[in-house]
Amino acid sequence: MIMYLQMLETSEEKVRFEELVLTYKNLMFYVANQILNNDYDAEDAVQQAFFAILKNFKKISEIKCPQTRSFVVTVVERKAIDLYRAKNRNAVLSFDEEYINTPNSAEADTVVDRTDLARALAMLPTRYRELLLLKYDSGYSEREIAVMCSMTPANVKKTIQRAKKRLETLLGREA
Amino acid sequence: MKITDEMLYRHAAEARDIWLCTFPDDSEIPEHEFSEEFNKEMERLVALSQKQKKPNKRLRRIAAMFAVIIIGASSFIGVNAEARAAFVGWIKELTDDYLIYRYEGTPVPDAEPMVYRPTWIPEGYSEFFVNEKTNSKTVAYSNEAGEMIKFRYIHNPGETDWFISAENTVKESTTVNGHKADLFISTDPDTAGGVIWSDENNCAFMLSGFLTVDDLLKMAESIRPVDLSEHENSPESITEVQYGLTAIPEGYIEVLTDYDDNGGSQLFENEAGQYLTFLYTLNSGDSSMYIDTTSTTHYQTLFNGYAVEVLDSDDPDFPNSIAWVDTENTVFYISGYFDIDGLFALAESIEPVAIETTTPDLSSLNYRPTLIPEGYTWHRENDFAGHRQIVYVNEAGQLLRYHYVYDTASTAMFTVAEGATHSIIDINGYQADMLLFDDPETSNCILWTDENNCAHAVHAFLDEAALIELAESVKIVD
Repeated sequence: MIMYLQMLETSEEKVRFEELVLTYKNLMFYVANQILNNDYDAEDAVQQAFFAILKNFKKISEIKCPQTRSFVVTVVERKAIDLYRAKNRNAVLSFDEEYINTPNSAEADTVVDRTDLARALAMLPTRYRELLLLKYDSGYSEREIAVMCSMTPANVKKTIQRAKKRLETLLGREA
Repeated sequence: MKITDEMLYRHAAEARDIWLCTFPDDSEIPEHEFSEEFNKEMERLVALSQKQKKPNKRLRRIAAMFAVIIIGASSFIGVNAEARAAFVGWIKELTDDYLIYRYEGTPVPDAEPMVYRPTWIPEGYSEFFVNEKTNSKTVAYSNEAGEMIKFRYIHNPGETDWFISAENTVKESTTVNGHKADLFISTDPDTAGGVIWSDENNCAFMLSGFLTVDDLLKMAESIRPVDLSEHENSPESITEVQYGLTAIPEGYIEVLTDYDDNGGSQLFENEAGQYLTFLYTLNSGDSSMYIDTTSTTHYQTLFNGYAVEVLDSDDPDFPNSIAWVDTENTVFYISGYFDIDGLFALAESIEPVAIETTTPDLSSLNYRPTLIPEGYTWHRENDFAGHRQIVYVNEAGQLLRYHYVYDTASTAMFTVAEGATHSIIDINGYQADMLLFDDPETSNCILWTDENNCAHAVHAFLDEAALIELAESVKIVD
């Protein structure tokens, strides 16, 4: 853990990290609690998410921007889903994990001037969308994503390939 | 339609904006009042993130040295033996300032380990600390003035050294209950006297304290084997005596404190990111402290009657350090960005501190993997020093190892991670580290700890899914 914390090398970065915490902790709690429906667990997920973010903090250039917002929400969403799974290992999932926080077509259609590909990507199952956004929007390597999402790099690569296939199918069907 | 990387890079930002639209604006999200626990944890995270200065080479070495103390692997080495005298398997090596008693005999396999206690202790003293879990057993007594007597014994020793500072003492030969003994008579009021001997049961004893020679020998001669059941440690509560710096220089805050059976450490840091380190090891017979002397001028001086090793740094980026061994065989080390007098002032401030600890007995917990992959059969198992291992083997001779550490204070678990792909996974609700190796000659592994503070590891030539299944099958069995 100390190794990770030493990644913040300047006091300026420490101030930026504090700013990130203040800016997003409420949103992150909201996202986590939507999944976990338990304040204590949601706070736990937020803590875990901040720790994961800290490990990759150098890549965050601007705190208040859609890209960072997307990144923190993605991370906390994943931590919350992992926590939910851990706590409900043998229980029936009470939500459709595959499509948690995925916009429906009506929501996506309210956004004008978007390309079909962007709409399709936004509507992908959670895991596919997460990985594609982390790689193609946030710019993380597959190895970094693997650590962040508790997956192996091979699994990340395979999931991204499947996500692309799914996009091809979706767009082919629409065409 | 073929989806290319280039297309995804081009449209990912649009997709992200569409997705983010599913979340309410910040102004619409109800303000959550975070728990005190959460806030504290975040404060800690932010505070620790101020460790902006990467540890320099010296500090990394200190960290490594600390690990060595925790593991307690071997012994003090590098002694130029000038004199040797053996008694019952023990070799005595003499340096200018120290005596090292080293066992070189063959352990007696059938000798029954016994518990020893003095049947007479000087008036005013009472037993306040017992540690008989480690190889080298320690019993300490103290009086109201805080003066201590330390009684230490070791049965059937393996690679064990006892390290005794001979400074400010005169050594004489004597006998304890007919056994040859070395008596150290103190010539300094701040230095304790001591006596060391071994008996016919292959057990070595050491008794030290601020006592007269008569009282010291009287107490030594009163030591007898006692009924084990009467002197078992209470697993519920052991009062440990540990040491701490009590005069912390201005501007330094404590960032780490750690105590265990072998010793302890305190780490302080100032705003400039400079560290002040205090380490000590109580059972130096079971431990090693390797001190790096690179880029330093090394000399010895006297401090409170002890021979102190001074490491005066030649490099302003490296801290100065001092190290010494007291007559109770405790090794102390202080390192910081202070001049040598400043370090001595810190050394003066060292005080014993009592710590109440709860140490549940975990040795009775019997963990096992309950789903062994097809083709593997039980091969062997062993239990040593708080570490239990069960090994299975298949027809190809590949080993499947499950091991766990139930006494984390006395041992450590190491896994070489070089060449591995590391990921953090979940094993039965516990965060675990998984290491997958590309090299077919190296087994994959998963490591985790549970709520009992047991550390577990499975190593096997299995794929990811099978390895996870194996790890998740680990359960406490009857």
